[in-house]
Amino acid sequence: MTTLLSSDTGEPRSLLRSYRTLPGVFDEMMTADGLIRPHWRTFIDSLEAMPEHELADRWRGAARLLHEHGLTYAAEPFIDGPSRPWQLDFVPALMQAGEWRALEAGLIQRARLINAVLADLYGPQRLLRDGQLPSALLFANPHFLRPCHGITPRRGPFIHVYAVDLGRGSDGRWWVLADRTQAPSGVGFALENRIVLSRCLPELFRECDVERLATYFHASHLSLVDCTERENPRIVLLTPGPSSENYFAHAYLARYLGYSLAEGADLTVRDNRVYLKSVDGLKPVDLIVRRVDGDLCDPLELKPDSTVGVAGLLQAARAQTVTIANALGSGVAEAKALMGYLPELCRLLLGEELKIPSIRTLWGGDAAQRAEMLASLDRLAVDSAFKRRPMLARSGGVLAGVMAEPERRALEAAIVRSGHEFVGHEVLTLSTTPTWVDGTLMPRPMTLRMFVAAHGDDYIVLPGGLTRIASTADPRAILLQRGDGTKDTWVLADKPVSGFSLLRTPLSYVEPKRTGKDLPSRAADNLFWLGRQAERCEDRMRILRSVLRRLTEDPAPLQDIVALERALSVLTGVSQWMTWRSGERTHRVAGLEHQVYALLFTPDHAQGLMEPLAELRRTASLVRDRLSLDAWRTLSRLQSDISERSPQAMAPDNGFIAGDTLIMLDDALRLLAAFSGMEMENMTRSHGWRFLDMGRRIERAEHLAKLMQSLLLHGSPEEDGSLLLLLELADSLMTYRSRYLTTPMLPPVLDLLLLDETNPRSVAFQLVALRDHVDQLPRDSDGEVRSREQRLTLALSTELQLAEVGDLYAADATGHRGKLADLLERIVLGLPQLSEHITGSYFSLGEARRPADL
Amino acid sequence: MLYDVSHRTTYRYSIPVSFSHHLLHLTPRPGERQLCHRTALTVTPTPSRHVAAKDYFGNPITFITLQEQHTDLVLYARSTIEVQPSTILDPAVTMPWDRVYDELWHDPSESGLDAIQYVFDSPYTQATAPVEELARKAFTPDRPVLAAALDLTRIIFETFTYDPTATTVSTPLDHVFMARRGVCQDFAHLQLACLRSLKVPARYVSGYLLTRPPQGRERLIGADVSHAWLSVWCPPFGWVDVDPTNNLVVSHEHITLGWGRDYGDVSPVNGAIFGGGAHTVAVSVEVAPISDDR
Repeated sequence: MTTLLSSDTGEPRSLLRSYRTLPGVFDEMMTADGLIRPHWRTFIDSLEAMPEHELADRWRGAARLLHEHGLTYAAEPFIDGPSRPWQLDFVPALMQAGEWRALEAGLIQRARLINAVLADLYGPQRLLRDGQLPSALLFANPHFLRPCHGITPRRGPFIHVYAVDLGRGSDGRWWVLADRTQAPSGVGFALENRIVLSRCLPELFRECDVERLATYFHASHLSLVDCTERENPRIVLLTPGPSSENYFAHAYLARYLGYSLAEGADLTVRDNRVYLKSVDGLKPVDLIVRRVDGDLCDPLELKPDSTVGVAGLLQAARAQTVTIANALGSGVAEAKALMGYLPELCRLLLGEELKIPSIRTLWGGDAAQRAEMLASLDRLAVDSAFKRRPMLARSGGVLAGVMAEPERRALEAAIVRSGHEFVGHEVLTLSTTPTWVDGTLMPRPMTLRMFVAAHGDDYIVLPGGLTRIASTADPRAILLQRGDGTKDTWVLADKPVSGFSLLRTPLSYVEPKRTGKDLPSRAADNLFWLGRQAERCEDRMRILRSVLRRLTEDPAPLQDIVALERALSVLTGVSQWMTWRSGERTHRVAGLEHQVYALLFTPDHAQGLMEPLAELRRTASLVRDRLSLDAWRTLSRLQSDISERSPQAMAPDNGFIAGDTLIMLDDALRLLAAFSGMEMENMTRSHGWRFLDMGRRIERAEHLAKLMQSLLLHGSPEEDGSLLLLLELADSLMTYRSRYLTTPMLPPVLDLLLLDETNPRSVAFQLVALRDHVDQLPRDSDGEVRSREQRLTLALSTELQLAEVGDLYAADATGHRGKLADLLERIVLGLPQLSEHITGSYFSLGEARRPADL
Repeated sequence: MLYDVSHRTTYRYSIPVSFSHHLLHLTPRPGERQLCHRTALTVTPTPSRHVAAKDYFGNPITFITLQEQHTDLVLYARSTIEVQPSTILDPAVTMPWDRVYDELWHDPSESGLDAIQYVFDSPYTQATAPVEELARKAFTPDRPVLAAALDLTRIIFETFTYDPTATTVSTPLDHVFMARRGVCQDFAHLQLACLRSLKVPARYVSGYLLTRPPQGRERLIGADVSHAWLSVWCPPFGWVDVDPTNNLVVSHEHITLGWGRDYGDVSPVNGAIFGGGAHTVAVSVEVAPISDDR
């Protein structure tokens, strides 16, 4: 189809009013004559039909979604600091099916070609022996992993996933800017962009007949399964861990595909076989989807100081007991130096002409190319011949033409001395695509990362990709850098699209089975602490809220101040309530207010609220591949609520506005309740849930016992408001009132909060639950002998079951309740011990490997 | 010459090691001038897995796995090795050094491919500008490669002081360069970097020296421990071994364990352990001639 429809046949287009193509630059949407290309028509029309305020609402909704998903391109989600929020432009890049199919064919060919090159370089090296490839091109490449030579995959290709960065030149042709063959990143981000965008523009998404992404992932998964030659293979996604800038995408992809997310320390090699260290013991791993650079994967045979690898992995790969996708060493094919040789290699290895050209690239290792490079240096961008840059780093090298003279001379000298380290490549004038800037559409330069996956003996291409845009209008390829935006990429179908989606059915759950992913010891450890920290936050918020409420609402009776001081002392550990003299009231209320303020707002206060909140955030981010999106968003909202509202609640001179603070705490407690509700209602009763719940129960029981020690063992609890406060802190006031209809008395309170197994807030309930959990945990012996954990929980829960309220209530002549004190003491001492036993039995497998430094 | 070579490495850990993997380069590599009559590697405690193999460079290696908890690990390698003296070569007939790389670029033969892989920087050898400057003192235009290489060996021997306290395995090369002192491994790395800065292929050799010298001869520097030197690609002869620590062309007093681009490719013991805490290591090497009448 060649006829183009004019953009101004109808009403003046508000969104396109100031849209102008740049001279000599290809624009994706508009021709040089200002006509809209036909495949953009539906999208633009629908967008313009939308009222302006609605458009703004949609954008805001999408921004919130992105924020709540915690989409960042760095270590820590949730917070500002080193991590940067992911920039998504809400106008997708559009591509016609016909054009996409041409790229698809070219990329499949290129994947085949690179696979054939890798098979030769890590095998017979005929390309070097026959002189088709300069041997220096291989031997000078730091990504050539010599110990991997001779390792061939038992089945399947060297590269299972492959990504290509493309740019469209001013002539409208696509050029390959870079190949990514090691552990291509970005597909997780592409997926997330699609989810957010299809949710915020659902009708546009439908009207435009956008090709779906899910089939690609499904086919890629089946192909991986096929390589293992096992029916139900164990697949892990190997990540460098939370310190990696792509950790978010790793966790996201692992959850989407239903693979276990594993760090190097979660895996071990025994007898040439890779195992996952799970709470169930060692589980054989059949396939590793690798997101760790090859040279870091095995400290034994590769870089010895790597802390993210698996010692012995190469031996397992050599023995072909595990499939690694991509094969170790495949990073060698990312070298820009290789690009200029691909057309010839394509003819030689595939007997075909290369379908998509690479951007013209000269390698300084070859004398003739070096001379040409030096002669035309001003027109070239100079880049490393072998090294790769992070996905969003300044890409495309430096422009020699704009360098100062001394630097330019230094660069020339370096090229003369070690030419093999450099390539010079042509500078592409990138195409522009409409981008949302200040409420309207403006042209911005773009590159496109496309993804290819092995499928049987061949490859398939993701119908979409990650479009990246520059923040300025400068169309030179080299100016795409960090901090610039991304777009979803829509391939517009010319026939109806299939609605297949994986989102609700992770792949490994396709076959009905009752257990999910294995639980690595490290993940169990983090879930356990997630449970503890969530409960700890709740406990502390409850104390702070109750104290604050009593201080600000009706003036508290004098003796109640003592109860408040005792409750706070559970947090602070300071016991200054023992004496009470009249006339001190104002002084002591001020003291309490000061303490509450410090506990609420002081950053990193170990006894306060901020530390458990920070820990909650940290542990949640470590297991986010195991949390539902809703659970994650709830925690995300909790964090942002508190960080946004704390400053408002804080008044000058270290005071605070009690009303705002109370509302903030009420809302925060509701979010925590929502989180624990999801945990109870939405998590399958797997080991992962068990560890999370055990963490919560241990924390709750210990806290409750400490509260009782503080409020019930001193003074006269039945008179000073302690019982009421205790019932409130234990969230059991309603239950008490419905049962007893009296002012609180100690014996029924003891029964309800200590001994009543039906009250989910009682100590007994926690211990019975802990006993059941511990009984269900995997054990070495066959249940013949009770484990330490079993003995401890059995002892404590039995003691509570056998206790008599009357005995506990009985006091001696001085008013001391010896039996109650002893019981509480045993609980307070026993629970940390239980925590230690669980750590020793289930988490220590995850202990970090120490490089031997031999 | 026939030698009895023994190499004992003892690790002592402050906390017991529960599990470990090791990769060992402790078995001498047979070669044109070197025969291995007998070689044995004993590990205590007994490994659960003990597998012999070859690395990428063709060196004999051993993989061991220890699953028994231990605080002491002893690696004891003992071999009977026969070494032939090297033939005397005339440096003047070797190829001018500035032609060596260009010839190799166009030489896809087995030996050409073997040589060219040792031209480029490796993790322990970086060809910096000062390194190249040092190399050019010996490598003047058109000079035969072996003549220049021997001259460079002498310059390094005379400029640098042998000092076992000056460096460790991880001391970077520019530190050695600045301090003008180091041990055999540093000097080998330095000369490798020099040669590679000029694109002359050179490889790192790990091995041993005769512990007790023959009567009337001085004891060589670096005996009693592992030794290191290098091989230089000198067409038409091929690889020629030179020892910058002792300023000599290697003959029958050096026993070769193996070679690679640098120390990292042939380090005697590499390992990954679980537990262990701090550790101490003791190494003893003995190379004793066996009398011919035995």
